[in-house]
Amino acid sequence: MNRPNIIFLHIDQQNPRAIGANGCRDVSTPNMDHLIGRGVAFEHCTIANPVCMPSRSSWYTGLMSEEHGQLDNNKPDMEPTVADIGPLMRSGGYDPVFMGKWHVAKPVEQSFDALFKGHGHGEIGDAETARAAEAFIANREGDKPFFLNIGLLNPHDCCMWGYDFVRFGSLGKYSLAESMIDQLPQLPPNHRLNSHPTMTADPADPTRGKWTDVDWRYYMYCYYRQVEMVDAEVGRIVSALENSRFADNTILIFASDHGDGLAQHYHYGKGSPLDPSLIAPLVFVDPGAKSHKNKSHIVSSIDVTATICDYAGVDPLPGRHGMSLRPLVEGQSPADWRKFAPASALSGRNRLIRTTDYKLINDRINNEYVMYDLAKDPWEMKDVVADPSYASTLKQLKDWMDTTESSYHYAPATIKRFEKFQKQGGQERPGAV
Amino acid sequence: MIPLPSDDSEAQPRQAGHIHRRDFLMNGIKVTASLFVLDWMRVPAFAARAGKLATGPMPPKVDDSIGMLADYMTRYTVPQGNFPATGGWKATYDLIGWIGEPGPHVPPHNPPVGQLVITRKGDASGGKIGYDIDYVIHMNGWDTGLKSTMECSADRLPRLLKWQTHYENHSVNDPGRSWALTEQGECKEGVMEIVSKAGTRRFQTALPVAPQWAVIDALRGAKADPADPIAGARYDMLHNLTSYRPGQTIKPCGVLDMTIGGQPYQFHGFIQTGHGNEPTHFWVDSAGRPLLTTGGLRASALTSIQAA
Repeated sequence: MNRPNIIFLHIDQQNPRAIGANGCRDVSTPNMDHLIGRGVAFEHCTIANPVCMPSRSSWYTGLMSEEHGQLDNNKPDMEPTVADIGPLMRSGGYDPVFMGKWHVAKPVEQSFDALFKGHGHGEIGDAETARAAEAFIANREGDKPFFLNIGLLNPHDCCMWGYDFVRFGSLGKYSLAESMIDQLPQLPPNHRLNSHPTMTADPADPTRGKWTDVDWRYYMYCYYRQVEMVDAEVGRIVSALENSRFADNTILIFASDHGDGLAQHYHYGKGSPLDPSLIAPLVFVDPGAKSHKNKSHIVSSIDVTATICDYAGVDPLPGRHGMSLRPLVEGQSPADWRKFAPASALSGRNRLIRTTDYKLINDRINNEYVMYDLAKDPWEMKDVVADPSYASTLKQLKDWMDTTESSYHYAPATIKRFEKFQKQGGQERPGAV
Repeated sequence: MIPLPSDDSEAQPRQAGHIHRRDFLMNGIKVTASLFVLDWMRVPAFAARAGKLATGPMPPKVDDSIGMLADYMTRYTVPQGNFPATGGWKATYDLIGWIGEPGPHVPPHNPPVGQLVITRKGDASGGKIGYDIDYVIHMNGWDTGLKSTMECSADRLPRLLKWQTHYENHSVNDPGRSWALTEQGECKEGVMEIVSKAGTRRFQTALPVAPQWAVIDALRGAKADPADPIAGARYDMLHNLTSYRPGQTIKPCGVLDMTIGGQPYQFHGFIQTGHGNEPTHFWVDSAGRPLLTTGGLRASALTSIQAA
């Protein structure tokens, strides 16, 4: 393969459980299923910080959110001098092109040739963004390799529902749920669990405790429809690629910036350190690699940048922690692969360590720990932090958590945030102040 | 906690053709006993399901549940005229954002984001009807739109037979930036094929295929009555003539009585559900005009009708 073209196709707020190929029977996703069937799908892709701006900043800079400084969506906090992958790819001989949702705290034009910016609602702008991508692939001339980034928005539209609830006191515009109850999906087994409210969901969530079971199920129904909406657009783009002269020389990366609560732990939306928010789909379609599902390696969203550099033959950005996934895509199993992926959540208030089998969450303000045995408890229903049989695992996870943090170079915005946590009773962290 | 939006309607100037929101909500809206939801709530099965499933507060009151529609109607000017009984017509709809996002109401909620013009080209001939579609959305400094010509069957819900669509996007601030794509499509013997420079897409279709715009024509004169021929229609939707969303159903969902600007209006409601589609409502007034289509985050509102 010559230097391949690279397409980074990302959608927004896709819970991996809401994909047909992953076993969901409430949704029809033939195009995501097709990608998973053709590519290498990572089942343990941990998002560095499961909210749009922090996550996207991590994708494009290769840094954890504590390092680039964008800890939440509230305001642009990322250091303007932080380098991202767009100019790097340009200097490496690629045409870096962007269309659709960007949501990083710097103008996309500084890093990419921005062809189309889409719309803040997927229902309005995704079809147009997909058509822009289709037109780019169909009309592209010459042999210079391209790095095409396509940001589709759905199923993110579900985020707007809380607003409807606050303003009009109803869900889904007309309280339809009662009139179509037979079509609504069942609630997940962990729907009613909310034992650690500061760690499981945004405490400002306006819907907390106000939705009925039927409301929740209607929300799930519509979330699945939004997944199907974006799936159709994914299919159009993939079809354009597969019908093009670039089909055999293009690496397609399919990802989501984070997941969605999907009614688990009384949560809709994102931001939680629990798996529905924290774990997102990540699929690499490499024409030269054999398709498979990777269930045995823990990977991180910051690995995307490192992998793109590897495929492009471009030296990675310095000082990054991400690892190239290319060996895993190509079916190798490196002995020195990482044992865990770190992450943060809830505006940096939570830090966590995720392995293929366990998760440890620490709240920076009250210094509370929560631990889940994911192998035995994939729905995160039982906190085992006080269970003596997990003492050695707990110690190992805590060690990894602290060692990881000590390696960070905190951004100024992060240091300010940690100072705020300390004023609220939090403990000092290594290097925080 | 996200702050509750303040009712700033007192600060809004009254506009010709609009009614004051508070007056409307207090005096103008009447939800009649014929509203489907109320009828449905009377059946014992509902009570059993509600008792079993609702662990939190009971479902919202019916008058709350149409809050967004009622709110929008305070700013909506109902157009004059009607669809002609025979011959062609041209219907223009505003495309509007459909969201209850809190915050300042200036500019108001439900901002226009574009325009849709549907032209029905005369009466059916040889079992076929022709349509032209002109559709523009303004987003993030771009004008993005399509112009399409469709040939459909002359059924109550027109089936797509052949079509051609030309998409164009233009940057408002940088005229040099634009892109275009033309698609041609055909539905034949259970296969839909869409061809463009980007290749050929094929879909096996189990049901008749219709774009969302054909539904508007099909609902002209419809009554929210299970006996209406459109009630229960099943079809596959080709959204914007390009995104395939199979398994759609249209059902009547009730009748709303409203007073707008002192005039009584009755709306017959229909709901469309299916894959890839958030439940979408069509509201047909007593003159048989499909006035409003309200979906997840997008709606359309009729602004004019002309003979064509």
